Amino acid sequence: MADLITGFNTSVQNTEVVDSEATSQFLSFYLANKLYAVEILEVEEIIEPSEITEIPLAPDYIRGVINLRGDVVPVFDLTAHMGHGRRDINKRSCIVLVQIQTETSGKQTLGLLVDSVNEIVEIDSNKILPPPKMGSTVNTNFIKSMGRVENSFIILLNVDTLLSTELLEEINSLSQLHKTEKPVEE
Amino acid sequence: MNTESSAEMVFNMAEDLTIYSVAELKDSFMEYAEKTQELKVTLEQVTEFDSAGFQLMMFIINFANATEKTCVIKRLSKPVIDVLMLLGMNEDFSFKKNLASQEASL
Amino acid sequence: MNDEARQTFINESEEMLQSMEDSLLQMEQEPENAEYINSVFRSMHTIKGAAGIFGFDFIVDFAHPVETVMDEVRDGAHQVDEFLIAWLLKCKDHTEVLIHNVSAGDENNISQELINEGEKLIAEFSGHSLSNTDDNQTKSNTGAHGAVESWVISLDFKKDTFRNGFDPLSFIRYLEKLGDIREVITDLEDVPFAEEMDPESCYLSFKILLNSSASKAEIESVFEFVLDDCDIQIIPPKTQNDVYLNLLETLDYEQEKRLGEILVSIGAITDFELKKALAAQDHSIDQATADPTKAIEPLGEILIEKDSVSKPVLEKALDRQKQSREENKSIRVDANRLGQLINLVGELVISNAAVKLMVEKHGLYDVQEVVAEVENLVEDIRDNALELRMVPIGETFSRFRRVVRDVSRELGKDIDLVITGGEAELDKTVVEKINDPLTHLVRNSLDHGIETPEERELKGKPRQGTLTLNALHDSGHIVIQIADDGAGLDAEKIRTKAEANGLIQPGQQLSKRELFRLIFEPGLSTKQQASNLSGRGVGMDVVKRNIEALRGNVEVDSEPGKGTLVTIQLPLTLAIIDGFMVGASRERYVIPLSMVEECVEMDSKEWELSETSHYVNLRGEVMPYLRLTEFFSIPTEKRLGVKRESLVVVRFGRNKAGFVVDELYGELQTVIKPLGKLFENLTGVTGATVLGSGEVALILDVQGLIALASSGSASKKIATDLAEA
Repeated sequence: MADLITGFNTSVQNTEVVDSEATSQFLSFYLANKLYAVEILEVEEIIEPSEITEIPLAPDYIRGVINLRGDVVPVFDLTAHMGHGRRDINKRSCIVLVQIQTETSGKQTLGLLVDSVNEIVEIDSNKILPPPKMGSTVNTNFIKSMGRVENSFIILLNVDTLLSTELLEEINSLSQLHKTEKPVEE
Repeated sequence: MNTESSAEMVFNMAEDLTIYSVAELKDSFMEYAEKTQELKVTLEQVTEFDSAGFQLMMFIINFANATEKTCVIKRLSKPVIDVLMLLGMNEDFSFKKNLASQEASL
Repeated sequence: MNDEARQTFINESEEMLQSMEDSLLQMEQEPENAEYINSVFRSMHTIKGAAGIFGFDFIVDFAHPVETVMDEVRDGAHQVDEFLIAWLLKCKDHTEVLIHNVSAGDENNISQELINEGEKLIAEFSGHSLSNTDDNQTKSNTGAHGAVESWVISLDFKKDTFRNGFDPLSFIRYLEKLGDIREVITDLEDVPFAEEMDPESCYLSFKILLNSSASKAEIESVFEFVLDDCDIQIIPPKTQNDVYLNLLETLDYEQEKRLGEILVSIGAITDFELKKALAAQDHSIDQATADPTKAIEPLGEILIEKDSVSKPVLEKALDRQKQSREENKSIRVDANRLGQLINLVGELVISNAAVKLMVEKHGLYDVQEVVAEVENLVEDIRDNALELRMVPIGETFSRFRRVVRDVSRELGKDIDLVITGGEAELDKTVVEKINDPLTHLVRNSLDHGIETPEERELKGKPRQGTLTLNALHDSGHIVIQIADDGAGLDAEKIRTKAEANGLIQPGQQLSKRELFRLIFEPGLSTKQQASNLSGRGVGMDVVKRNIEALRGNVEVDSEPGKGTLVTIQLPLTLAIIDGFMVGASRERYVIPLSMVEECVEMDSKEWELSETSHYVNLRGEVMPYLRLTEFFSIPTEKRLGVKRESLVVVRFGRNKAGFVVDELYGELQTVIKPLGKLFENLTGVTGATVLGSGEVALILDVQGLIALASSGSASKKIATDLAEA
């Protein structure tokens, strides 16, 4: 296949200002009145929650599946996932669609149900701190780091680990449990 | 023209032994056959010989068989031999076992 | 050469080699059948030709002598024997190696070793054939000649022949111009020998043996004017039959032809014969319409009856017709493109459902008809699109011929592979995934199932064991069976092993089926001495898992000493199905329509639930049931006010169950959307679909749910029994 000829040796230079004091942009949102954020580059889009079809017998942090332009996309209830229990969907609820890299099946789109989306914040890299070791109500596996904005901390989540092998195993074992509870007999 | 010699009672086939004459010839042959037990047919005059003629000739042999008369077919003419050769009967002119004898002049 | 052409070459060559192998293995069974020899020759010839075009000389160099040998075999110079077949199989394997070099891009770098190997292989044959050619030659020279080289022409003249001015003798005379009349048999049986003989009527019939190089049509043309007055049969000499067979072999049809046209085109029958046979067929059609018990006679049979054509020629022509039908109608399409098409059709189905919904919502009654029409079309498109990807399973089956042959030799066993139902079709994507489990099951049968000839003899069985691969369609599924007449499963050994592995409690009561089912558990193999073929019990659990991943099911049945039967059930397609939508509370679920036996509406005189024993009684038939709302723990506050339930009876294989639902929505076309890795092992759900409204509905795993329903009721029944005791 031929390339489109756009000019004569005038390749476009992507001038990227490399700042030593690099800042990253994050999308922040509320889960059970606490502020969390994910890196903006990982966010594909934000949609209003439409009809979510529940998956029966799934753990409570799996809210269900939605139809995203013909594809069936799973939706995680992040509030439940972070150990705050399920919340009813209201006017402010949003689904943040992220693209995650799974270990086994490549890229996958995943919906994250959040209580409300807050804003896009810029955080200097020097204000990003390692996650707390212990004592948090939050499942620390998914916490990438803590970001300090003004006087408060934002928990920065690592979306890729949402679909970790451990989690997949957990979901599988839940359904397996259901199966083995009732031994198959003729 | 069939001539009947009183001495030998020979049935002499006409020149034309074809579809045009077989009906007539058969009638005369049947008349002839009623008079004798020893059928003698000569074919030497036959110049025109077609399938109908051949069929009549074979009929005569069959007839002789069925009525248990002896039958001698004498002096085959060239056209007759040609047909018999064509049909592969030149060497083997014994159609039925009790056919007394043939004088196929071959 | 570009990659695409290279890929085409590789693909086609591989296909050719596969078909060559199939034919060779068939040849082993029927060495006399020329068809297989021809087919092997064709395969080699095609590969050589294609390799020549692409400049793969190393393939041409090897294929050429092989082709020459095949050609000599066709001419009868070599005998089709075990040696030849074994040798050709080796040649096939060598060619495969050569082609692999092409696919690896090594065609410019062929090792001398490989070439030597090929030359050695060729030499192997010439060495063998030298010692044998003498008696082969004499064999082929005797016998073939004699009366078989003559045409047999039967002429039965009708009464009016003479009167119509024809002289049969003149036709016979004319025949002499076409060739050598070897014999005329004059039939005078019909000539009456008394008064009733009408000398002007024709009573003659002839049988003529003619040696001639003329065609059937030319011979027939001699009798052109008398065709109405004479019944003519022209039977070609045996050698001529071979000519027809060869013509059929080499004929290339630009387009599909009718049987009659094919036979006329090679000269096996004449136009006149065809016309007469067609007239006879018309007659038989008339008869059949008048009397439905009478069957319409196929043209081929009529032609055979009339001796217009010999059976082998007819069969070959029918074969070629079928082939050309397949050849002409097939076109290579990238599987991805087909996948895309099917995806798009899926979208179309969903969009159409959306349109339908809107039309209903807005009460656009005048549009409804058009929408219904579009819906029908979409349904047809869907079926057609899915059919594009349907392939017969026969090809997969016949791949096992080689496996069976090689493995049985290796193990010193004598095993015959019988294939039935190879024409049953299923989605290519399913076929691809079934190959591995199938291989494993076949090998298991060969290795553990069928005994050695000696053992079999001792048991009073025929020395040759039989492995049967069978396929059939059953309610939207394909059923694949692997059966052997071997030793069968040893239930006691399985039990001992399972107890040792802790799979079951010692002394646990299990039915035979349940016990056999244990072989699909990890780490169970009953053969003490594991061979290198089927491994050590690793795999049967994988087989089961693979099949279940395809939404299928595997069952095993066995009779000690008689054999083992493994039955696999698979959905025909993984893309779009006909579904039946039901509602449980506010949720909607889709059940594959093929599994729905019947639906019984809410007024329930006909069915009765027994909540304690968890059985439903439907018109006297008792079966386990599941209440979807309960089973899926759908919150009760969501439940609709008035409880008016319906029963959906589902079936999978032999098992039936009832689903108690709140609502019956009816049929819909269901585009199966994968739920992804995340939900791979969900209970009761196998996939999702997008409804016209844009909502997602889940597709129920009927098979899994039936099992759960049965076990649920069973365990509850035990519980109640215990409580009563």
